Amino acid sequence: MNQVAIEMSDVGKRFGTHWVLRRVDLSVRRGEAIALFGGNGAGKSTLLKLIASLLSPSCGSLKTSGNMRFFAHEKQLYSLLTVFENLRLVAQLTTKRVQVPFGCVDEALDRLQIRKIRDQRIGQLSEGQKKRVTLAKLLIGADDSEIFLMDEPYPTLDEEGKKVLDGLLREWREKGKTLLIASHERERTLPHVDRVLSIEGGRILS
Amino acid sequence: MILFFLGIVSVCFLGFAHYWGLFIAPPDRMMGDVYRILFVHVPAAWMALLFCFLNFLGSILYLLQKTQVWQRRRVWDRFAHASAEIAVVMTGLAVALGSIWGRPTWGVWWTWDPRLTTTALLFILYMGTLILRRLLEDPERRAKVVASLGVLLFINVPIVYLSVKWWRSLHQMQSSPETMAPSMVIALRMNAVALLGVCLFLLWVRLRLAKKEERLEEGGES
Amino acid sequence: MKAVRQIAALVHKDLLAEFREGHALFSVFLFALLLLLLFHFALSLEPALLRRISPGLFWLALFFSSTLALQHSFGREVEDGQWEGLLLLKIDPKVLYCGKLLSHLIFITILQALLVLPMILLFDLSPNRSLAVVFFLGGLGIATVGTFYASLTATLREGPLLLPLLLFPMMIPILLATVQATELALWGDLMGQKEAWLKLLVVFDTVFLLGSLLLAEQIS
Repeated sequence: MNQVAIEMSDVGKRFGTHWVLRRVDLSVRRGEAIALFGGNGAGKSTLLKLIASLLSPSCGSLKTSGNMRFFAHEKQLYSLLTVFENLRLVAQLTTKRVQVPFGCVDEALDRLQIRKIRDQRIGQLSEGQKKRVTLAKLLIGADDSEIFLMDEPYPTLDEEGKKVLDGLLREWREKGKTLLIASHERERTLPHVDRVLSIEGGRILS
Repeated sequence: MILFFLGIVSVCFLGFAHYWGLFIAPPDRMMGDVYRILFVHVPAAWMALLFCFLNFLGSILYLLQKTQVWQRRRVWDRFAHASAEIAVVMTGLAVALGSIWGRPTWGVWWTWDPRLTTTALLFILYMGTLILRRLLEDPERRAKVVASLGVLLFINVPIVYLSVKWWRSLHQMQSSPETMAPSMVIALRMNAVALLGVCLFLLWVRLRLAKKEERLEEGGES
Repeated sequence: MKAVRQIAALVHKDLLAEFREGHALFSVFLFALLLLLLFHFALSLEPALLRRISPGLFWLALFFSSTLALQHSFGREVEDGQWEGLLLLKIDPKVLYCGKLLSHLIFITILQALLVLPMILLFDLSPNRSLAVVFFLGGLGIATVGTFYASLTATLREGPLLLPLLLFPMMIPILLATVQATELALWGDLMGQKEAWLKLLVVFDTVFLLGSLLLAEQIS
C-alpha cells in the first residue's frame, strides 16, 4: 500500500493570465491530517480541486492514491429533490454492490440529525440545514474512501452541527483517513490536524 | 530563416500567378473576363478544406497524447488554433468571392450551391470554435474542449456536404458548372500552389506568434 | 452492470425534478406552438403552401425548443455545482453523458408527441405510424449532439448565446434527413428514398453517439 497519499511537485494553476497557484510542493502521508489556512482568494479551493482532479495543473506533477471525497463550498444539491432523494442518489451512484444499501442513507440522516427534514425539498431548507445534508452526502460510501478534502466545512453550521462535524473528523482520524481541511476557523480546526499549511497569493508558506 | 525566405518567395509567386491569371490566361468563351476571379476563389476553397483538415489533425494529435492533460505538449493545440484561423479566413474569402462571381454570372448574389453553402457553414462553425477559445479561461480545459470540437466538426463536414448535395439533386437544382479549358488550368494550378505557399507561411508565422502569446499568458513565473 | 444502474439513477433524478417542476415541459411545448404560429405569420397566408412546408416547420420548431430544454436541464446542474458534485464522485463522464442524453431523449419524445395534434390541426395533416421511426431517429440525433454541446457551454457565461451557434450547424444533416423523411412518410415515397434518408440518420446518430462518448471525458 502506498504510504504517500498526495504528492505535488512544483504545481501551478493559472486561469488566463492570472496564476492562482504557483510552486506548490506538497507531500501528504497516508493518515495525515492537514489544515489549510489562508485568506479569501488565496488559492485554497483551487488547490483542493486540483487534488480532486476537478482541475488540471498548468505545470508540475501531481499524484494521488486512494479514493477521495470532496466537501465543496457549493452545496451541490438538487433543489427540487428532497433530502432523502439527494442522499439516495449518492448511494445509487457510489455503491459497489448490486443492491443499493439504503441503510447507509438512514445512518447518515441520523448522524447529522436531519431525519426530521428527510422529506423536505432542498429548496426549502436553510443554509445550515443544506450544509448538514452536504455533510451527510459525504458519509455515504465514506468507508471506501481514504482521502477527505474539506473546503470550509464549518461556516453556516450551527453549534450543534459543528459538534457533529468535530465528531466526524475525530472518527475519520481514528480510522486512519487522510484529511485536508481548508478553513478560516483556526481554533476549531487545529485540534484535528497534525500539520498546518498557510497559503497566500497562491504560494504555500511555512 | 529559410522559412521566412520561402514565405517571401511564395508571396512573390502569388503575385506572379495573379498577374498570369489576370493578363496572360485567355478570356473564357462564355464568361469573358469575369471568370478570372475563380483563380482566387477556387484555390481559396481548396485551402479552406485543407486547413480544416489540418485543424482536425492537430486536434486529434493533441487528444491522442497519452499523458496527463497538463503534460501534453501544447504544440498541437497551437497548430490546431492557427489552422482554424487560416481556415476561417479562407472560407470567408471563398464565400465572398463565390458570391462576387455569382452576381455577374447568374445575376444573383447568392446561389444555394451545396459547395458554397457548406463552405459558409464551415466559416460559421470554425468561427464558433475561435469564439469559444476566448471564452474558456482554464487553459488546460480549453485545449481539451476545442480539440474535441475540432474532431467532431470535421467528421461532420463530409456528412453535411453529401446530405446537402443529395438533397439538392433530388430537387433538381442547378449546380455550379466549373469546367475549365486546359489553357486556364495552368493558371489555376499556379495560383493554387502559390496560395498554398502563402498559407503555409502564414501558418508558420501564426505558430510562432502563438508560442509567444502563450509565454506571455503564462506570465513571469511558472 | 454498474454503469447501467448509475445511468438509471441519473435519469430518474432528472425525471423526478422535471415532474416536480412540470411547467418546464409545458413552457417548452408552448414555445414550440408559438414558433409554429410565428412561422405562419412570417411566411405565408396560403394553407396549401404552409401544409407543403409544415414538416420543415415542425422540425425547426423542435430544434429551437430543444435548445431551450437543454439549457434548462443543464442550468439545473450548474446552479449549485451539482455537476461538479457528480464528477467528484468519480463517475465516468460517459455515464454522465448517457444519463443526460436519455433524459433529454425522453423529453424530446414527449415534446414530439405533444406537437403531433397541433400539427394535424394547424396544417391538415394525416400522420401514419411510419413517422415514429423518423421521430425517434431525429430525436436521438438532436439529443446526442445537443447534450454534448450543452454540457460544454453550460458553465460559460455566454453559454446560452454560444449553444445555438455551435449546435445548429452540426445538426443540419438531421434537419435535412428528418424533413425529407417526414415529407415522404406523409405524402408518399414513389422512388423509395425514405429509407436512404433514414439510413443517413442512423449513420449520423451512430457516428455522433460514439464520438460524444469517446470525447465525453475531454469536455467534463
